[in-house]
Amino acid sequence: MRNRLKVLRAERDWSQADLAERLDVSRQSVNAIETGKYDPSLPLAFKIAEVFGLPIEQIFLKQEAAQAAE
Amino acid sequence: MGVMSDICETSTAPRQVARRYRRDLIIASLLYVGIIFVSVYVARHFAPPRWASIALALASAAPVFLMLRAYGRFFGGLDEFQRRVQTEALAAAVGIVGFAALTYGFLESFAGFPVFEGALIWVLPAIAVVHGVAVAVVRRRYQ
Repeated sequence: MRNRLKVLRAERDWSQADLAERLDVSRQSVNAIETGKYDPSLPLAFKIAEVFGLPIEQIFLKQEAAQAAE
Repeated sequence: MGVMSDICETSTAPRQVARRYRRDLIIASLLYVGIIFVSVYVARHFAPPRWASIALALASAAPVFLMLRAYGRFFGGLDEFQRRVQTEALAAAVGIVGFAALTYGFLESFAGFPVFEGALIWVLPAIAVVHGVAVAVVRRRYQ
């Protein structure tokens, strides 16, 4: 699964630590999600969507959908 | 079990969770050292009856239970990614130590390798040591 976390974070000028604090997780967790090495649980994905004020599907993309979009 | 403090040092646990874990471990470790010292002294100098020997053995294991409880609380204070790291590392540690113990058991039985009395005492510490290393390896994989 791909995600737009890094872009969305940059748009808001948030560091990984800023986002981690908003999500109440560690910075390493944000990094692992951002680099696509760890897929968050559904509750955390909803929380991420809430923090960015976007629907989940605008943040997380299936691998094929992400490739098709490129 | 003291290696569990290394897990704490190398983890990215929230500060208060890590601090509580360290404190719980220090208390349990001090209790462990004290009880072991008393148990060994009593066992060697007083030849206690069987029921007392069993009580000494169980008392010696009690602080280790406190260490496991401390780890349980530490685990409970982690976020989901950190729990994933800990779980993968724990699975690897249990697998490696269990497999090594089983293999050596066969070598003892079939090939006459030396039998170590009280070897079972070292199973949990070995898991803790391997777990400490495995946490670092697993975390690097996710970086």
